[in-house]
Amino acid sequence: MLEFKNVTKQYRSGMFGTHLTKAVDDVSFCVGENERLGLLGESGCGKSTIAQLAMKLLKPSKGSIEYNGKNIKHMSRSEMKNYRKNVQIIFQNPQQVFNPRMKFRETISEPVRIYNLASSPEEEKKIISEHMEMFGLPEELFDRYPQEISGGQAQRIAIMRILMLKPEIIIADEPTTMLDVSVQAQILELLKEVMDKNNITLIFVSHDLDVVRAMCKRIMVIKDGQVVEQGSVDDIFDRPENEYTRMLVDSLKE
Amino acid sequence: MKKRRITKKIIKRVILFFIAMFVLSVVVFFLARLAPGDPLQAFYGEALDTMDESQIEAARQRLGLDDNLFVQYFKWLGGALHGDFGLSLKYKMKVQNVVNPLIGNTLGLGITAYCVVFALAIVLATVAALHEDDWLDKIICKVGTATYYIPSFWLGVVLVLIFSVNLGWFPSSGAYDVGKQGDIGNRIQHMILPLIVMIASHFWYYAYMIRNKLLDEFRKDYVLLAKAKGLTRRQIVWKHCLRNVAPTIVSIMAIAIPHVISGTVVVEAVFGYPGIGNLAVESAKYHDYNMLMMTVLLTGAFVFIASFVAQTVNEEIDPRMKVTKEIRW
Repeated sequence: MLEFKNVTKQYRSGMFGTHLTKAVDDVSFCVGENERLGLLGESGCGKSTIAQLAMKLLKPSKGSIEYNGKNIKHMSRSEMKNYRKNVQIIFQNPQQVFNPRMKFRETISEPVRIYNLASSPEEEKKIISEHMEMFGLPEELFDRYPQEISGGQAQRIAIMRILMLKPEIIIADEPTTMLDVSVQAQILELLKEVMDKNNITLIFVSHDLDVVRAMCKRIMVIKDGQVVEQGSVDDIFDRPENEYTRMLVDSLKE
Repeated sequence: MKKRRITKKIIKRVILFFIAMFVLSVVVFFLARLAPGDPLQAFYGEALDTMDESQIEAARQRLGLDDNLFVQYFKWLGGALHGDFGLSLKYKMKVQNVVNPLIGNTLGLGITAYCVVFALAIVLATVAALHEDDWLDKIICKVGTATYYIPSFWLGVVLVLIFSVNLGWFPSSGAYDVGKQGDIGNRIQHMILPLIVMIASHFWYYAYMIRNKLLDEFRKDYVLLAKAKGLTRRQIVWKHCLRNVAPTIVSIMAIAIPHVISGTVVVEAVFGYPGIGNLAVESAKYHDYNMLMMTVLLTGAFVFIASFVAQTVNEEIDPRMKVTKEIRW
């Protein structure tokens, strides 16, 4: 469904832009329907860059990203809108991804309006409150600003907002790293439940081996922007082939 | 409940205003008299040299300059509270009568310049921020910086040289031609050159501030999410970023009021434009105490009112200010 073909993202740095830094180096992979792919790697290895490339928040320097066989670079306005609806992202810092001067009522209703999910204001209200209920969020949160609620609640709202659009793919960019341990488990459970119920493809980006093992079926290990190994969860954890992967897995066992 | 809070707030600000004006008047009154020089020089000019001791003493008494400083201040205060701000030593008439016809000139020039400056600044800042690091942004930034650093007295003289002396399109000085006091077209013609200088020397300072604020805003995470949500660039800028930067722009606009007003001083001097700025400088030079008090208090009152208005507007558009206030109390 979503395919990366030899994607490279490089930045020029230095005083005259002579120095090239490769954040993502020749990465190719493919996710199919209802798949769970984990991107595993230490911080700074380019995981988040891959997530942002997939969202077209960044443009690849080389290679192409294809969605259902169509390069996202060459999509028309309406195709792009469809793509944005079907591919959604969860960021790691839930409290900063909402506009600090907008109440949640407004923030949440924005996607409903952009994609014309509701034909009337009453229906819009209904859609939103149904989802709020489904996620166990009290309606009073509507009249709050992002800085007035907890990180866990904000992340729930972020996931809820995404689910309203009924996407095909969700990219979760370290969705639990900024949260308390107790809340982490809740959010992961929620995410898992939502995936199973709606047959959504998940690309889960994390540095936490345990979390990736729990959430995903296939894993790609990334180091310095390159894919060093990929395989099923069992393969990676029980029979790691690459030196770096072995080191990661061993560190977990200790 | 809400209404009561607003009236309470307004009363509080009015009281604050009077306290501030009182303090300002005290400071200006005593500072002006600490400066060396003789106010009689302004009143009598050359004639002072031919007057003898007793005549000078009598003159001092007549003008109320022989009293103790505190007595002088309270005499002035008493008059001011009744709307009488005393006699101008230089013009030998009531201060209000000198100031009144000039206020309109300065306000007209200042307010027009202020509006154009901010309209231009906001538009240019948004365009530049949207095209960050593009050729368009680079051109705007470079031209803006260059204009900002041209000294306004020099620019004024050059403009006069080009447009009045050589081309003869605009008059070089004054606010209107003799006998054409009521002719608006004539006044506008006189205002154009001073206006250009005012705008050129002010707009970039604010445009650059607003541009940077916008760029800060563009780098925030919620913009990424808004983009991922599927909002277009224009929607993000209008609905999210500009709205969030608006309180900052309002604060900048409030702080800008004294800055732009002080800008009129130089321009009025270069173009011989009859206004308050020029008057204030002259009154300080000639020890025209009552006139100085009047001009300073006028500008002071203007600045205070402007900042109070800005604060109120700010609280209304930025919900966070109210929240933090509730916590504090």
